Amino acid sequence: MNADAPLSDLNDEKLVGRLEGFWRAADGRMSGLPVHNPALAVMVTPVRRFGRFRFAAVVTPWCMNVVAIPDPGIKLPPDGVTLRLELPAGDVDFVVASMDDGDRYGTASLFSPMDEFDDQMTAEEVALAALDELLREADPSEVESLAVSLDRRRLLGLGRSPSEADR
Amino acid sequence: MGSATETFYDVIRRQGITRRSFVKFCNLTAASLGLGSVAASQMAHALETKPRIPVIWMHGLECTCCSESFIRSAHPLAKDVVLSMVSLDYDDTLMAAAGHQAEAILQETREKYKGGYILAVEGNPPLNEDGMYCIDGGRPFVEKLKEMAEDAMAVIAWGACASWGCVQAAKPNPTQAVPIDKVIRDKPIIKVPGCPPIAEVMTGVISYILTFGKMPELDRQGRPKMFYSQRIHDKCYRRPHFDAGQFVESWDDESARKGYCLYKVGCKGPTTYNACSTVRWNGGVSFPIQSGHGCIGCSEEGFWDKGTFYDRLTTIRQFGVEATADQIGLLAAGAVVGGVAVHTAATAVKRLTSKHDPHRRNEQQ
Repeated sequence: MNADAPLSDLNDEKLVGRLEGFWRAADGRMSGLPVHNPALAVMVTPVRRFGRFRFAAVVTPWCMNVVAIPDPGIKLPPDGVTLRLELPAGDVDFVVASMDDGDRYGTASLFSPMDEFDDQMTAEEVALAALDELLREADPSEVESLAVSLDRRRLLGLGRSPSEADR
Repeated sequence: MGSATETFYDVIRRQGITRRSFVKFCNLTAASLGLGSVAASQMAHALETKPRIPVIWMHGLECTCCSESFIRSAHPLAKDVVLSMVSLDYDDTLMAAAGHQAEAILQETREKYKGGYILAVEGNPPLNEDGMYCIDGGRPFVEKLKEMAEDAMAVIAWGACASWGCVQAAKPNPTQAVPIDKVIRDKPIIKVPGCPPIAEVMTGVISYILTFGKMPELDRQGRPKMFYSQRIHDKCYRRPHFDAGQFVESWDDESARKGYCLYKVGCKGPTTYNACSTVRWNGGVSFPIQSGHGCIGCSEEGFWDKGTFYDRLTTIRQFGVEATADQIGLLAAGAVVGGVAVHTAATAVKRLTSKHDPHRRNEQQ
């Protein structure tokens, strides 16, 4: 697959490379601005899949974001529109944006600017931990309680189930 | 003068507003408060059953933009709904009475609803020359303000004038105009800054008090957290352009036409906490940045004294969506160091996420 393939068609490794290339190009434009922290560099975490999207955290000297890349066949709304995705940690509003070649992705801000990060290693640790936290699967006890609540009364919108009423 | 035993619902039904419109209003207002469908039901119940809150609305040094905003709330029936929600017993701009008759209403409301009315203040008092720069009904405004605050249940500071002082208090401040919390010290004050505040934020604050019978949760600066906890920058639809290093360099250049980020031409979104980029204006149609002009930071303290609207921000002591306005003050120049990464990330994610709302799920998932 060549470098010009749509984002959604790239394998995980090439997707990270494409994202890093996009933000490295931006680094040149941001350099010298007061919001640019020269102690940091562009880095994209390995991608993680959830539902029909792949997610990565992007570290730059001026911001840290989570980006969402849709699977093939998913058409995102126009640039600037808010896309709400249901993730394990909760609902997250992503702003739809385009790469230089027009490929769309969603982005949600974690930090901006990055003045409070003194070194790259800490910024990368935070990025990885944020992605973990965002996509952290529910623990088995939570899954169990979800299973209990999915009874016919709940399914048909008839209010509390007998088991809930007893609690 | 409206009776305080009458409910909001009684009034709007008498005015011919349908129940369907009433329920829609409750849903919209609950949504603007960031609350779900349960809260909309609670709100409907409260508005149907609780007596309207008497409100005294006073005007000091101001331009009336807060009133203009308030009566233009997004709902089609706003002029009826909003003005019926509260028993707006005194507002010298909106009321029919004038002169001695209006002054009599002011005193009558104060005595009749002692300790039970909300004092809403638009504008601020000048203190120089014993308050002579703002005379209201033949007396310095500052005297009337203190007097009416004594018997109020709570005080709402509408707009930047009442909250921070705004242009009247900008240097050199010849009239010595001050925000109202400099002269009202013994009452809870809800600051709703902005020049003006967003209409839905104003109605949302009053709806919250009426529905839940308490003040909304405030930040350290006295602003309702539900509307002032997030930065314009973090929810701005142009934010991806900032992240990609794409900026408007001069007005009406090619980048401006492409809708790039306005940071370089002075946008104050990175240092401003308000709901403009989420609630927006004119019924959610737009907001200043969407209209092509940078945020001027009108909801922040002392915004007139922070350089021109077009000076580029050089110091942004903020910390992404990880921080609320409260935390900014506490963090100051703190740095993230190794060992706290997990905690820092968890806090950031907590701020980024909202409680799952099944009615807003995207089809893409």
